[in-house]
Amino acid sequence: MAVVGESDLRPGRSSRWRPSSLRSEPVVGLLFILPTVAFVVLIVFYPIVETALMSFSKVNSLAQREGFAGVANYRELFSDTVFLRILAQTVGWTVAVVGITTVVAIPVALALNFNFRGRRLARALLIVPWAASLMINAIIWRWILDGQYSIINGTLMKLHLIDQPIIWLGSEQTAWAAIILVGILVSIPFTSFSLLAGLQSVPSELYEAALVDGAGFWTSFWHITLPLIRPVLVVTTLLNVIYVFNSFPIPWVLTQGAPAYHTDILVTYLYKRAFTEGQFGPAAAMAMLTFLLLLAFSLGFSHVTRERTGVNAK
Amino acid sequence: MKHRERGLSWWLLVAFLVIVLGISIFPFVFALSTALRPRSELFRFPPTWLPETWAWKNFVDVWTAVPLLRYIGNSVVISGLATLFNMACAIPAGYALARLRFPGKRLFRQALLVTQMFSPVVLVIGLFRLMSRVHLVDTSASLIITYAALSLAFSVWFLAGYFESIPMEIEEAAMMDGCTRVGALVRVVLPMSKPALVAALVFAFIWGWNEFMIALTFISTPDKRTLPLGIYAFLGQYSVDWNYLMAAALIAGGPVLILFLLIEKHLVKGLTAGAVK
Repeated sequence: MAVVGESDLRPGRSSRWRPSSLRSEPVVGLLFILPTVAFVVLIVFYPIVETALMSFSKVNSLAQREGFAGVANYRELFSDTVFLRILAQTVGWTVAVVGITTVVAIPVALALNFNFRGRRLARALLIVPWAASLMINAIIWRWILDGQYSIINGTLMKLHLIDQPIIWLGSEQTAWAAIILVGILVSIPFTSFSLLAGLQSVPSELYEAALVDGAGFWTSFWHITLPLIRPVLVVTTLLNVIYVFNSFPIPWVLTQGAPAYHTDILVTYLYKRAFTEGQFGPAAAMAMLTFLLLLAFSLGFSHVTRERTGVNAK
Repeated sequence: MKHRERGLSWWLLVAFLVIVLGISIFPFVFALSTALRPRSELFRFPPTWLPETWAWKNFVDVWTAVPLLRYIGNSVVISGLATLFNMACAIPAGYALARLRFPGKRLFRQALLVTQMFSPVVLVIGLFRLMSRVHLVDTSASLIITYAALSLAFSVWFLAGYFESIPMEIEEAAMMDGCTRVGALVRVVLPMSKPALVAALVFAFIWGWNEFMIALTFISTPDKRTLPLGIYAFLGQYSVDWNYLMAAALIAGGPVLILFLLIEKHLVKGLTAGAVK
């Protein structure tokens, strides 16, 4: 890349760069981005190309390609009923976590935007689950829900809400509920803070004007706040979908997909196929599908929201 | 909304906030209550909310019960070096995006956005192949390189956004006085960007400190485990000492919480910056 730039240097000039002169800006620019480009090509683009190639190849258990296999890996995936079920589970998990998180985070952000004593403390407390990694959140919840003697069982029995202990992570329904609950709790902080930033950018004159016009809190929420924070809401939802869809540690630490793949999501199933079962071909195909799914979603999402915003502007 | 009188909706929303905070904080409070119990109080029925005997000693003993210091050391070295590489690349690249004209700038911007679309799980198979090809599987180096690269797009964006907000006249004045581009960056722009540099640094460090899945894939030697991996391995033992495990988890999370509180203001702005553009 530097070669292209060098031809820009006039011959006869001192070989020392004069970065301050406009002529050499492209050289400096390219040199400045070169380390980043090298890193990204090596660690992001090369692996994705390798994965794409693997998805069309016969791959041995050491992840080495052994010749072209056409679409065999993809065909295997789509005839795998477990995969199809997990695909549906993943969509369900993502929609449930992102949906409920957003519904909870909006009032939380509204409250955090109020003036009250202890507001700083409230914000600091809300950050805690976000600062602790997904893995640590998941480990703590595994202990809370652990076996028969968990604090949850003890408390529920003391309150006579249940007669006997429930093995929360042992059956499909309760394990799902637990995984989704943890997913929501770790997503609330980012979502609330992001929406709060949006709320803070709404000029307070608008509310004062609405107040003069006799609008109540909820009226001004629906007609002023919500439309104004919509761009933030859209970006936050998009990021949340990507985070939640890819959230590996929560199901991995809580259940590892048990019982029998019933609490797996795509990324944990992909990981198991590759690194536990040594099935790198189908796993690579799954990785490509995951990527395409997220890409299609992001493009579609931004397209739809852009159109809507356009209609509103008229 | 700040000058509003405290009506019913105010109370409802604040009450809701308190409930959500309670549920969010509960696991950490209970983790602390578990970390402070003697082993004999772990599996009692009915379970208690507070320990009967407060075993403060657990926070001392955990360091010998688990090779916590080694895991922390590994994590500090790996995240620290990754952060260093990350910043060394992100500062010039962010500056180039903010200030310089060069061919392929648009492409570079878009390529960075695309890297955010590849989640680590999508990349991990290809990364594993790459690392086995260059014989770096089960080394700290594999994690350092990967962490530096995967947190790079964010740092570049974040810094570019901040550099753009600095008035260009100051650099121009410095360059009139004979400073080179690099000189202007180092002597003028960077000192003015300290808050942003700290935020980017902290963010890159936390990224590596918390990362779990790639470490799980690459590292197999127990001595090379990072902190999240070490804590996770503890979970796999036949009989888990939950009191020590909870203590270790809190020790791992503590520093991050402090760092998060330090950069709270930048956090959200930075996270959504890339997606807005």
